[in-house]
Amino acid sequence: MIIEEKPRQQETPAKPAYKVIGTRPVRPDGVEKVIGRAKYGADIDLPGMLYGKVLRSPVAHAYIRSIDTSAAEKLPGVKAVVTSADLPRLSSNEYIDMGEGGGQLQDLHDNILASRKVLYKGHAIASVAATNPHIAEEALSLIKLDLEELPPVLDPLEAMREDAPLLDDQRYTESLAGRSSKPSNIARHAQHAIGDIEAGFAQADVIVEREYRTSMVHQGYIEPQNGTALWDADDHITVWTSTQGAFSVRAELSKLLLVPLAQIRVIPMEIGGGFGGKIAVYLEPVAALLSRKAGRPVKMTMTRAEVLEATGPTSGTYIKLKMGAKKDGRLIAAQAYMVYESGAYPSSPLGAGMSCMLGPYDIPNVLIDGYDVVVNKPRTAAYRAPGAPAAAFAAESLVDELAGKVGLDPLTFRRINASKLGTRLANGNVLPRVGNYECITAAMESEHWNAPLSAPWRGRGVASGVWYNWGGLSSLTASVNADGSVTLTEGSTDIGGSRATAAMQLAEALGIPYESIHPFVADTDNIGYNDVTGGSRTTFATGWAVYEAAQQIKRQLIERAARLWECSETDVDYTNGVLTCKTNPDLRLSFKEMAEKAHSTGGTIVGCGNPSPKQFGPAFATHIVDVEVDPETGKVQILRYTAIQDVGTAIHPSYVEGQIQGGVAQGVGWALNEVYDYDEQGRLRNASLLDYRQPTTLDLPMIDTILVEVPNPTHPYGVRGVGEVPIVPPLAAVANAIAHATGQRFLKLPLNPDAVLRGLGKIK
Amino acid sequence: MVKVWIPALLRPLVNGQVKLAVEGSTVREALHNLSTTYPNLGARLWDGQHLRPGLAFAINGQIAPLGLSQTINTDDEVEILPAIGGGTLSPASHR
Amino acid sequence: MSNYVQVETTINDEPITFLCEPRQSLLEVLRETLKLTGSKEGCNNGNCGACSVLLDGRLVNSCLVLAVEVAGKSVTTIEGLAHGDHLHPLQKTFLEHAALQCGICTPGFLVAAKALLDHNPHPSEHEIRYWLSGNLCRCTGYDKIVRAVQAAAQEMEAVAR
Repeated sequence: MIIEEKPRQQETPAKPAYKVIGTRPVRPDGVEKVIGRAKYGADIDLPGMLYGKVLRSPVAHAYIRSIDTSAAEKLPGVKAVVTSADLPRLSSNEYIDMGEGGGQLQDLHDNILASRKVLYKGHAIASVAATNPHIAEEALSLIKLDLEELPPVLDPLEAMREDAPLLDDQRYTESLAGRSSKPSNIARHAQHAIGDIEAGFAQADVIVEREYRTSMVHQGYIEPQNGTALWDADDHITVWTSTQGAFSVRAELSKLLLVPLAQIRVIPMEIGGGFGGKIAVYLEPVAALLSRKAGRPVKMTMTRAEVLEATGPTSGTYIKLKMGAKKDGRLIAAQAYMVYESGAYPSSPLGAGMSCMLGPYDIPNVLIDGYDVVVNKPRTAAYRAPGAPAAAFAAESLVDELAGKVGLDPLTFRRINASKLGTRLANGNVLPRVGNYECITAAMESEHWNAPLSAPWRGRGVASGVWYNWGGLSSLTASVNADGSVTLTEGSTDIGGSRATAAMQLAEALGIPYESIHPFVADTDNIGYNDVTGGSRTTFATGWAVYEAAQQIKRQLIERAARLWECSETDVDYTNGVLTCKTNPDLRLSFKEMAEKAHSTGGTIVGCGNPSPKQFGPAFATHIVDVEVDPETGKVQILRYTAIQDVGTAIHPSYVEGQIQGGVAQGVGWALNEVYDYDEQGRLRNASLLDYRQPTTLDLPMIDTILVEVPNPTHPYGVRGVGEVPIVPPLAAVANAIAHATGQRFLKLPLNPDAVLRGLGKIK
Repeated sequence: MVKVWIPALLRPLVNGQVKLAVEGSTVREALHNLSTTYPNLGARLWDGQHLRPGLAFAINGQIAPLGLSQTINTDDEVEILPAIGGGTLSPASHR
Repeated sequence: MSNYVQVETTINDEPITFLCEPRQSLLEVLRETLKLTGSKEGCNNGNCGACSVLLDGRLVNSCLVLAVEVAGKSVTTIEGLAHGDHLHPLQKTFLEHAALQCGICTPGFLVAAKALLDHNPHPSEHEIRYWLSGNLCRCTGYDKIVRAVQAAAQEMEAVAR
C-alpha cells in the first residue's frame, strides 16, 4: 500500500480579481491578418529591388576545389554574384549567444557561405542577385563548381567512432575537463550528477534499461526564411526580415559583416512561424553582400526544399536510459547516455535535453552523460523546448514501463515521484514553486482519464514534461496620448499574439480598457535592446516590462494630480484608472481626463520598462491521449487528446490554449510521421511538405486543454510562459498509448505505418 | 567560508574532492582563491582574466544571474555547472 | 527578352489586364506584378495551401495555376473577401476564436473555408477537416480553426433565416 504524501509547499494565494487578464479580446493585429494586408518578410517591395538566389551543395561532404562564377556574372540581368570570399575575414572566433541557442562565430560564418568544405547537401556556396528570380536561378546553373567528394557521416553513433571520417580536423571534444587530445566529431561531452549512482541502483528493486532513438525533425513553419537588405554607400545597412529577434539578427550581422551595431537597422516584418528556427541568420548577410555589390536592395526568399535541407532542424537522438525504483514505487536511481546530433556545426540542444529529461521527478541518484556530435546534415537550430521532447520520449516511456512493473497506474507512479518546491535536480538547480503535482492531480481527476476505453486496438497513454522557461531582456516604452489612449512601443517580435498579451497586462496595470492600448513592434533603431521571442519568455518578460512602465506612468499621474490639486503626492490615490484626492473626495480625475491635461501640467507622460528578470517560472504539463491502431495498415489515429498544463496565470486564455494545441500537434507529428529521411549519400529524400508529412486537419481531433494556474511567485501577474512545454509530453504519450493498444513497446520514432507493422511482426 | 561543489569531470583536478571550502565574497573571488590552491583547476577555469566559455554557477540551487559578479555569503553553496543555452535556466554566465 | 502575354481577367470583381511571361504562376503575378500579397507562398508546389484562391468559384492553389490560364476567368483572393470595412463572417469568427497565431496560413484557410461554405453551408466537423486538409497550419493544431468555421456557418445560417 502506497501512502502518498501531499507535497509540503506554500499555499497558492487566491487569484486576484483581474479586470483584463483572463479575458479573450480580439488581438490588435488581427484584422490586417484576416484581410491579407499584414506585411510579412516576403511581401516587401522596394524601388529597384533585385532578387537573390543561392547555389547549394549537391553533395553532403566535399572539399571545394574551385568556384567559377564568370559565366553567371555575364548573364544579362545579373547584377552581383558573391561567394565566401566576399564575407569579411573574422577578427575573432567568439561564441555568440543568440538567446535560444548560439554557436561559434566561425561556424555561423561557414554555414552562411561555405569556404573550404561543404558539410551537408544544401550547404550554401554562392549567391546571385538579378532583376528577376528566374534570371537569378538561370545564373546559378552557370556557376561551375569543382568539388572533391568525401564519404559522408550520417549516423551520430558512427560519427563518434575513432575511425569515422572527420567533418573538421580542427574540431576537438570540449568538456568541463578540457579538450580532447585528438580531433573528433564529438564536439562536447557534458555531465550532470547527483547522489551516488551505484549505491542508488543497489537499493533498487526493479530496474529497466532501454535504448531510444528519434529522427531529426523540422520546425515546419509555413513561411520560408526570407531577408531583404539595402547596403548604402555610407555603410549603413537596412534589413527587412522574418525573425524571432531583430536584435539578434543585428548582432549576428554586425559580427559577420564587421559593421557597427548602430549602422545596422533591422526591421522585423510579420513573422510566419518560427518555433526557434528563425533566430540564426541564413539569407540576411548574403542579401547584404549582394546589395553592397549591386548598389540596390536585394530580396531573398527560400524555397521549401531549401528550408528543409538547409535551415535548422532539431537533433536526432540516441538515448540509453536505465532507471531503478523501489518496490513501493519510489524512483531511486537513473543513469543516461545521451547522444544528440548537431548537424554540420555544434548546435544541438544537448544541455537542455539533459536538464529536462528527468525534471518531473525527484530522484536522489542521477548520472547523465551527454554527447554533442557533428554529422553531415544541416546545422541544427532551436525547436520549441529545444532538446526536451526527445529526452522526455525516453524518460516517459521508461517511467511508464517501471510503473507497470511495480503495479502502479502511470499517473499515481508519476505523482508519488513528482518533483516539487525544493527538489534538487541533477543539473544543480533547486525547483521553485511549480505545478507538477497539480497537473498530475488534474489529469487523474479529468473526465478523459476516467472515461472508458473499450474497443480492441485502442490504447490510452500519458506522459509528463517540463520546460524551465526563460526571462531574458525586454525593453519598451508606453506613451500616454492626449486622448487617453496609450501607444506601446515594444521590441519583442510577435509570433502568435504577444502584442495582445502585452497590451492586456498594461491595461490591467493602468486600470484602463484594453482597447485604449495600441501596441506595435518597433525596429532596432526605435527601441532598446530586446532578446529574441523564444524560451517562452515574451509574455513573461515583456509583461514584466509593461508592468514597470505602468508603475512609472502611475507615479507621473500622481505627481501631476498632486500639483493640480495642490496636495501632497501621498494624498493622491490611483485605483482602477481613477485618481482621487484622499483628503478631498470631490477631487477626482480619470486616466483619460489626466491625459488630456498632461501637456499643460508638466509635459508628455511616458513610461518605460527595462527589467532583467532573474528568476523564471518552470512550466510542467501532463498529457493524456487515446489512439486506435489499425493492425492491417499500421496507421495510428489519434482519437482523443487532453493536455493539462500549469500556465501560471493565463493572460489571454484563448492564446494559451492555442499554444498548447499547437505544441501538441507538432509533438504528434514528431511521434507519428515526421522524419528526416536521408539516403546513404546524405540526400534528403523527403524535402517537400507533402513527403515530410506534418499533421493535417485530418490527423488530429479537437485538442482539449485543462489550464492549471499555479502563479509564478516572482512575476507581477504570476506569468510562467506557456509556449514550449506542450511539445514535450506528446511523443511519449502517443508511444505509451500505442504500447497500451498493441502490447508492444516502440523505442524508435516516428511510429509511421511502416514502423508499426514492423513492430507488430507483420512485415520484415 | 563558502562551499564549492566540484563536478565529477573536474574532480581529478582537485584530488578527487567533491566539495571544497573557500573564502570569497563573490563567485569570482571564491574561484580565484580555489585556483590559487589548485592551479590545475585554475588553468581549466580561466583564460587569463576571463572565465572559459561553457561554465555556469548555481548558488544554493539557483542559477547565479550575475555569474562571476554574484555576491555570496558565508555558508552559501556554489556549484560549477556546464552552461546551457537560453531558455534553460542558464543565462550566458561567461559574459 | 522574354515573350510577354497580355491577359484580361477579373480579380475580386474588378476587370484587370496584366502582362506576364508564360512561365509565371498566378501566385507570382498576384504577388509581384499586381502587389496582391495576401496570397502567401509556403511551398510553391501545392502542398501547403497558403496561396489558395478561387478560380470561377473553384478552390485552387494559385502556385499551380499559370497566370495565362486565368484569361477570361474570375479570380477571388483573400483581398476580395471583405467588402469595405465589412468583414466576411469567417474573418470575424477567425478573430473571435483566436484561429490564427502567426497568421501566414490564415488567408489560405479563409479562402478554402469560404469555398467550403459556398458549396456546403452546413458542414460536419469531419467535412470541415476533409475540405481543409490541403491547408497546413503549424501554429494552432487546427482546433480553433475548425471551431471558427463551425461558428461562421452558424452565423451565416442565422443571418440567412
